Amino acid sequence: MSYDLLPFDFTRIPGGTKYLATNFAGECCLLSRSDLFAIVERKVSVGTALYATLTSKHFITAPDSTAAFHLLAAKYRTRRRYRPDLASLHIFVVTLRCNQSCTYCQVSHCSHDEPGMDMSEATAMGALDFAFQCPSPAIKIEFQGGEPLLGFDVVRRIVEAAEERSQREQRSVEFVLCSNLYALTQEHLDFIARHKMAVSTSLDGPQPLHDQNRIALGGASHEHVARSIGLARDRLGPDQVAALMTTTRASLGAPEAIIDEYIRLGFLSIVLRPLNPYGFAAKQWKVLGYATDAWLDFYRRALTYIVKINQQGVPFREEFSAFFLQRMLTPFGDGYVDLQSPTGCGLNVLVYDHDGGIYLSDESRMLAAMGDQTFRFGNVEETRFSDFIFDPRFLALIDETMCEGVPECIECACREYCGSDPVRQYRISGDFVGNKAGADHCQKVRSVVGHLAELMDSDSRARDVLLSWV
Amino acid sequence: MAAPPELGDQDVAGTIRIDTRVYSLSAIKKAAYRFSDRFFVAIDPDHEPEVRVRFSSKPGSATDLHVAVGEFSNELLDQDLRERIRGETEGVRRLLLAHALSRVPLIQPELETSDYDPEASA
Amino acid sequence: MKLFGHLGEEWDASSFVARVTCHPDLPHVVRAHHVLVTSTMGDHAGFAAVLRFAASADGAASECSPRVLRLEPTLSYLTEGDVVRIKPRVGEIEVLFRRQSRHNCLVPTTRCNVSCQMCAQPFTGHDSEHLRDLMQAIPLIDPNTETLGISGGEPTLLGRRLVDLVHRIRLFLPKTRVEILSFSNTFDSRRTSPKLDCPTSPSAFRSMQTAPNFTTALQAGRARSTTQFLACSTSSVQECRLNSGSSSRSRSSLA
Repeated sequence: MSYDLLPFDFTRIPGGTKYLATNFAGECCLLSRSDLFAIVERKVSVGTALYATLTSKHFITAPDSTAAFHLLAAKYRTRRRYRPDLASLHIFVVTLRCNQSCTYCQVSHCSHDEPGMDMSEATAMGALDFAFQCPSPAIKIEFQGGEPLLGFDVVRRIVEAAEERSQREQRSVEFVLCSNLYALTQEHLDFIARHKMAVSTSLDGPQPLHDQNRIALGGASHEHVARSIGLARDRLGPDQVAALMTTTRASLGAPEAIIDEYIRLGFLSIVLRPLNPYGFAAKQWKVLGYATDAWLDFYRRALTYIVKINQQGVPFREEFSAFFLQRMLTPFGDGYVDLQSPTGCGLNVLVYDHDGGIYLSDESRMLAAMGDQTFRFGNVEETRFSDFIFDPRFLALIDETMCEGVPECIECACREYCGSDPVRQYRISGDFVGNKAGADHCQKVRSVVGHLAELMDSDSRARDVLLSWV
Repeated sequence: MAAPPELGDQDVAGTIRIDTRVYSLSAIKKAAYRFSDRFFVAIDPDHEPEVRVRFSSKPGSATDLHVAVGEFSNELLDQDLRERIRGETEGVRRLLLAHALSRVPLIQPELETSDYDPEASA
Repeated sequence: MKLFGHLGEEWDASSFVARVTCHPDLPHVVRAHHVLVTSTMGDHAGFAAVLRFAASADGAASECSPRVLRLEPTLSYLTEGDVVRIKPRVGEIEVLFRRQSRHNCLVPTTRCNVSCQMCAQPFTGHDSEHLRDLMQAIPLIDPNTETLGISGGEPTLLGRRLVDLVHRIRLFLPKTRVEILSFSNTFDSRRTSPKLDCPTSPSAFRSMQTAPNFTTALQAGRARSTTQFLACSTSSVQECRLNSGSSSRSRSSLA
């Protein structure tokens, strides 16, 4: 008896001969080219391991069975179920003032004492108003800057007003403070603890690397952040304090030292993300930048070390990989802004600048600081949420850039793991869609996903570690 | 006035002739798209039913042309396979999308809402 | 099952806590908080101590760093993820937490204000060091632990320090349910009940007059886990269950 094909895509893993194949809902398996031909030619026999894999993963189905159809539709829907809630992450740029001058800074900032660079009370309340017009029942407010500790009065005001409003409207609100923690005081910590805020800071690695990248007015930025991390962890609990790392060329040679530094300071996870050529990083690209291949080598080496220390009993997670693993192995959606289709810009995240400007993402704000207002959609004083969400410019942007309709993306096996970012694309090519052929982004995603798939296929101990992250 | 630029034979680094009875035009175009980062690619009809695909190197591109032509042939095979799969499954794909994105409960209606309370049905 | 043993030597140093590991090549950066359980010799630089199942300690080896100590066969169950306390001045090792057990119980004090004839843990003397070591042990405990008990003696005699311990458990082990075993007679006496300062609301001084007030103080802070307060007295039994975000409710049930 022959079988019916179900929709699936396949893409060759960069640098290898195997193909990653994914079904309609994004479940994947590794196939050779001869497997692919055999599947289409109906040469896969019942009872073989390949047949079992393909039926259980809904690549093929018996002609009289409808189970696969319903399961695929359910999984597809599950992954997208929270998207109609629209933006749940709202970033408030409470001040542009900063006490550091990081070499790769991707946000606009000015010196620590420049006047007129804080968000005013009226703007803050206007932005809060806008945020609460979003239908999402759960809102996360993230404070950024510059350095939000320098504008902490604004933070306080927003937190108190948001809590009061969320109680009134029966919605949940969470707060995250994105800060270099250089100027952290006990008073700040008291407030943070009292309002159950989470803290996200930057840690690039051991002291020489961190200080090289992150130049503080008073120097010794690593010493300060290490001390603050300790204080914050003890006061707030370890899972309320997170650190993000920015990979520069200097990081590439020392992934193990960076991970050890994270462990030394008490972290049990890291996010390995590549540096994007925006902001100051673009100007410094000759010094800081690196090719995609170099980053991929760094990533693979870091992951090898992390898997090894997991096997030694240190439960350390790599979050970039964990994100892909969740997409590959479960039908559940996530709120990861950078990789959503339709785009997460404006649909998952909104940014309110210190002057009340509404932006689709951090990068949009950077563009505006350099004179390009393409991704600014009004301001909190004049614009209602309903005006914004139905703005024809915004709708066109979403529509044009959906992976489900873009060349290359429509047939890519990594489509369900990927997403569109019109702002990033605009920075690279001047248009929202770009030419995906040979694109760095595509190579990165396909290589990372391919590496994880091959690792799980070939190394059972590594697979156990990776599965524990899902 | 100077003549507008043309992709003359002297610029072309490699040519492949493909019979459109073997590979569809859309498969050829999709395969060609994948090389558009490293090469300029031109597709012309040439002695029906063949088409001629001409590659010329982009400045700064380091790809070996023989390798590229070989890869193009493999890519054609892949695109052809994709077309066959899509052809067979297009109907099911549309149904799946319609079903998934509709408001019709898919498996068990009471499990579909986020306020499902397991104790309520007790 | 014995939860303590002798190490075969004594030396002048403060007591310390460490997590047990069987991995000799654990990354150096975490070794200071680990003791290595092994039967082999080798370069174990960086570990807090090395525990070996040998008939007798190698005299020369125990002079070098890390110290190599003898582990009694009765403690052969020690495995990855357990937490121990080593008391150098009396040459003893105590097992504070066993990862494979579902019934771990911390004993922050053996002091008690009652003297029961059937007591299995009578007061043994000066014990203020317990709490300091326990506070250091909390971050070493597996965060996937389902339940952690706090017993004694009478743990509520610690007053504010008991609240600190529970909060620390909540911070580092947010998924873990805490069960406090108490005689609860301290709740009834205005004279003896200490005042509890709720750490996150300095203005709220509460006296331990009734179990719900005490549990309110325990509940303060980031309460995502459940703290169950089991109180038993000879006359009545009250069980107060705390759930995160909801007010405490009490009901009577028999022990």
